[in-house]
Amino acid sequence: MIDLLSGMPNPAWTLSCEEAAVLSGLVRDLVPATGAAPSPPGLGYRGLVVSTDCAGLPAGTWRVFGGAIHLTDGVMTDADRHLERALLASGEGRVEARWLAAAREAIR
Amino acid sequence: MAVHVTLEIFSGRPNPSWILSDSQVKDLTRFRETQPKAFRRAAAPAALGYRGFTIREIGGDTGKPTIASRGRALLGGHIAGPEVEEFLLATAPAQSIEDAIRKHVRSQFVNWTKLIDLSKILKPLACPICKAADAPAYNPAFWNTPAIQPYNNCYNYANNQATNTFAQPGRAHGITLSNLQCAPVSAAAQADGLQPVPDFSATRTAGQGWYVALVIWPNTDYHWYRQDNVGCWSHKPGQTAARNTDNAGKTIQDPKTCDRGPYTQFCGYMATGSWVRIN
Repeated sequence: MIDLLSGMPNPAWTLSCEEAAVLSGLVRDLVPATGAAPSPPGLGYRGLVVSTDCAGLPAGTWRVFGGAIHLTDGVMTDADRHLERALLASGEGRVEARWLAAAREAIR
Repeated sequence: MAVHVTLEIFSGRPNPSWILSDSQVKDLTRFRETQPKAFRRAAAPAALGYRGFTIREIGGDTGKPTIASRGRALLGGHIAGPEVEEFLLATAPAQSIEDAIRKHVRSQFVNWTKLIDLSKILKPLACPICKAADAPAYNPAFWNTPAIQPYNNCYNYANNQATNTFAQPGRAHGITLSNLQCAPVSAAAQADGLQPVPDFSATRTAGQGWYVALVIWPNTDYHWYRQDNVGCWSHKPGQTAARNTDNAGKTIQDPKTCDRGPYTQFCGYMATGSWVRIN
């Protein structure tokens, strides 16, 4: 889910575990974040929220925003926002292009 | 003649200092000539930690600083703003200032706009008077729970109705929003019972509801605020927590003038109340 909107429901899509396997490489060697992680704003793009139970991905619901991954048991670094961009790319063809564009504009 | 810069930061250790190159002196001079607004007055800085830069001409006629350090008026009364501070920090040789020190210095650069605003205000901003007898209390504890927060949006919150349906304007009355602009969203809300009003200054007695405001992220989304009984406004951005601050972290005196992020269009104020039905 792209956490972006306020009135309208956020755009969201589902990947099978096989489709999500490409993301596992980006989370395999996560390192704990140093320093304070950026907080999302109230209005506007607030990152991506992922819920998964696929092998190779952190279980549960977690948020990716601003170079950090907020897991249930800690905050990890998303170097150069690679995971954030890869998650957005996984939405191609699954949500309206304007939502992906709005999110990409926010993290540009 | 050379220009000598000192970073005034330490108490026990000697402060870092260095000499500007000829090109850096020219850049600084050009800075003063092209961006005079970067040099303004400021309040005195804290006594410990970063206190600004001092610049002196060595070998000049006076030996006095030609550009002031932050917070202290010197010859000519010039104070250097954060743009100049950043420039001066960048002129320091790489090994002369540790990264942690540079980070601390940058964190202390003053936001001039905020400083000027704060200098005019002797006490915290008070909320406007709430004229609506039915205005709800600001109660984020109710909205920000796992059973409520994800299922109720800004429209639920503004109307103070937790339907758990992520309510949409007009849906309770057969309207589906397709055009996210002020007029159609306002019309859909009116179908639910909300009433356009010119502002939030008129008295609304018991039974006449409270004030809300509609804003638009053009062609993308809508958002609602509500005025609480304390007079300031609050809101709930989508599935996120209800809050009484804007995107800049400030209390909301008026949604028309607060920081609304990408919701750049202010549509207007409306009144809502117990007669309104949403879904």
